[in-house]
Amino acid sequence: MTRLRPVPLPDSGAVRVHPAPEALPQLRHEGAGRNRFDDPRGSFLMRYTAENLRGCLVETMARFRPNPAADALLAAVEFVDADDDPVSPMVQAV
Amino acid sequence: MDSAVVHPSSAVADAWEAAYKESVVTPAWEQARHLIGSVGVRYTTAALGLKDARTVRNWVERQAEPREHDVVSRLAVLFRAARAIESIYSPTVAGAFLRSSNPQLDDEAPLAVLATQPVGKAEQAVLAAARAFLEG
Repeated sequence: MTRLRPVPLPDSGAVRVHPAPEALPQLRHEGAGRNRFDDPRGSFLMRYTAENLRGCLVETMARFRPNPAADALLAAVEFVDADDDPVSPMVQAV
Repeated sequence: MDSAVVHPSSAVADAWEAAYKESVVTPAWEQARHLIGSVGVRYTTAALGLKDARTVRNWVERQAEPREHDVVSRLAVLFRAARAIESIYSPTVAGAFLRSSNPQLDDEAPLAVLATQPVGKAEQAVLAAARAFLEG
């Protein structure tokens, strides 16, 4: 059984953008971790924090960059009425 | 170990589990109805690799399953990923997740992966990206 030793956060504090910022992800032993600094062997967990909010937001918004291939697939859909598309407020940040 | 630091269960884990169970017990036409109401018929149609939105609407109106097993599988994956994300964030965030470049998918968008890749490969990749998004 893997024995985990939590790494303390810096004395100056840390920032995390997450629906449950205090929670650690669960160790599932399903192979390599999925995020950038996860353990490739999947034997330990990583909780992502930053020293400031900007760092958190940059990492979070990395998943919200425009994708031309997806935009083309969406534009190619036919027989969609104007009021069929849900109103999606654009996020302007970072 | 300090119990204030490690929380073995979280809202994210609960949402993921609930979305999985819903995807198993919810009929395909109801999954389609839910997706039309959350991310919209355009996203739903495109993510299933289809171009005609009337196809998706017909499943709901007739309470019918898609004829192709492949499409049923893609619909379940889309439902599961969107349901988990919207339950933690919102339908808007689920839509943004689907259409945006994703680092876990070599900068492809989950919607494009689901629409164009073989369903088994797409399922594994999109669900892993969704869970990484919720847990990271």
